[in-house]
Amino acid sequence: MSTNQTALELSEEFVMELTRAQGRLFGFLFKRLAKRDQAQEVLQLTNLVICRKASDYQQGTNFMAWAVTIANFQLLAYRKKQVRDRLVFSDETLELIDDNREREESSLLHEHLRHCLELLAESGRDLLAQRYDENLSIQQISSALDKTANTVRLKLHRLRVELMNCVERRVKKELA
Amino acid sequence: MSDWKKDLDSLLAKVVEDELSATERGRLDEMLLANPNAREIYRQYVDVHCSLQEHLALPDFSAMNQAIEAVSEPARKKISRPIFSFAWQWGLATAAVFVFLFVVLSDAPTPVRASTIQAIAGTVKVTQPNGIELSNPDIGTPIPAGAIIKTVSADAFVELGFDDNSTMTLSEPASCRIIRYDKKQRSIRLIHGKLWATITPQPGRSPLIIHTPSSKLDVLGTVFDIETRPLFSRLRVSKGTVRMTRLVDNRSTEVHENQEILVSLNPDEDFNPLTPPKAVNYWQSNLEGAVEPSGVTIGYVKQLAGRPPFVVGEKVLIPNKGKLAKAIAVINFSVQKFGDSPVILDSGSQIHVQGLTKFTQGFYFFLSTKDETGAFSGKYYVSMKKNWMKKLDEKGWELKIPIEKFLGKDKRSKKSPTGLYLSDFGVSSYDAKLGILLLEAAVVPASQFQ
Repeated sequence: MSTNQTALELSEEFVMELTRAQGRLFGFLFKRLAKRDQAQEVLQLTNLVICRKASDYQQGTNFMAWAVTIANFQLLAYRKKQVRDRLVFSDETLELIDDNREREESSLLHEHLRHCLELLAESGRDLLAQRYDENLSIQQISSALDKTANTVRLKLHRLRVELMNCVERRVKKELA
Repeated sequence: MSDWKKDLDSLLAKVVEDELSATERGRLDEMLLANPNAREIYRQYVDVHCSLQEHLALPDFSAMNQAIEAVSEPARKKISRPIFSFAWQWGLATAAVFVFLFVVLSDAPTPVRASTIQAIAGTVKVTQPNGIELSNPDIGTPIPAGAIIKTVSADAFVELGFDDNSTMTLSEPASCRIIRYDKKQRSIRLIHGKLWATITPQPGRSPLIIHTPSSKLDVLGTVFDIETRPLFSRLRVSKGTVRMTRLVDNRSTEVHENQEILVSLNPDEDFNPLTPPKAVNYWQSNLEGAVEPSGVTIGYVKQLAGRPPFVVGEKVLIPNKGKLAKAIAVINFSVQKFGDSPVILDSGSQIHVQGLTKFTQGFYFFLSTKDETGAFSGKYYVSMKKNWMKKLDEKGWELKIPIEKFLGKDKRSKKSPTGLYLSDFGVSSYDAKLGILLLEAAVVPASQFQ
């Protein structure tokens, strides 16, 4: 690397933490923006700020909580710059959606989801694989299966609801 | 079901697909503002969607890449050094490991075997239908129905054998899913990249169906290769006949021996098979124009004012069998574009390469080959030697590599690729930090430089 380049000196642990946090940060932002491109945009800004503030982070403390706080500031700043028409949620709704639970529950959710996926019928798992593993669009899946886009969208929706209910049952059982 | 629930259901299905209209956005906002139950369902539903995305989909680090570039590379020449600090590589690599975390935790039953690995080289990942990655896939490893097989590195290929003695080879960075392969149904989805297949004729058995994002193939006994990209698929039939259906308008046509066809997502484009011209013994990359006509399948073409276009290597994460992975840079060319002559590698030929980086070590060059029957015939590689390099200017270099210097990637390969047909040409660096910038690649027969 040349001498006049000022590459970041981030610790390996820090980069690992940030990398691990990407999915959950995206989830946090997507839930509050309900638009993929906007969530991705704010995530990029968040990553930038997190890197610049790397020296503020104290190793051993809760990285996710720290990163989410930064993401939340970025989210609010981003919303201020947007005209209302571009945003899905009003400030009031956003406040109500924000329940501050995802940090703790996220890893638990993933564990339950893994078990619930195994309980799905093969055809359901196939469809989810096409949508998520293979990243195919609804249109591509519907063409391949010779079904309408609406049918595929509805089937995917039902699968997500089935998984959602399954996860909820497992959480309740665990708490009982 | 109450009305609000029905309405919420339809809105949720659209939120996660980014399909909400302005009116629907307003309706969702009103509903979540007024109804705590709707809010709870919304939260849970989006959580499930994002978790599926996080654990089933390939990791997307594009948001981090921008942070890397913006923070680590302030207002300087960007061309000669893709920036990718060690710490970043380490972190990204670790993420790949975490994405497939439940590998270790799984207690899932073993699914039904659909095929077996017969040959393997480079980095190959096999993800089972439940999301669990098979550790260290090797020759003899059974592959279950529903598994996704992915060749990660430019030097990778994997040959799968099936119970009907058919074989399929996934080559170049590519991935496919075996939907089902048994006596009742044979179905494969080629997600991207190149698949070579030799399908044994099985009278009375249902045809093998291969799905790509733009086409569907009905195959009986035949030898063919198919390459699929987001906007098109290209099929070449070396033996037998394949029925090809274009998904965009459901038109079908038969592609016979020694014919090829290009299937795009545009219904206005031509959909007729053609017979390529006779084989030639020279080839030169063409970077003028858009990416697809240039033949670059990995990497992207860039042009700066006053300079000829060049290809920038794409960064690819290479998992390291349970240890931390590393990022490498890769460029791949499809040599025989649609309608082009096949390129034969004559004895005494040279591979000429011009690049734009001052690094002189840590590069591999690859050739993917096929034999006269059209079947995949292995990958050949050579590690760059410093004394082959001729400096063109301050940053550029030129290499002339004798074809005989390339070695086979697996035991079944020939001693050298001489006499085989060239399918793909690739370059990869050990380290993404080194980067690769390619100006030109060519196959030059001995008669042209002696």
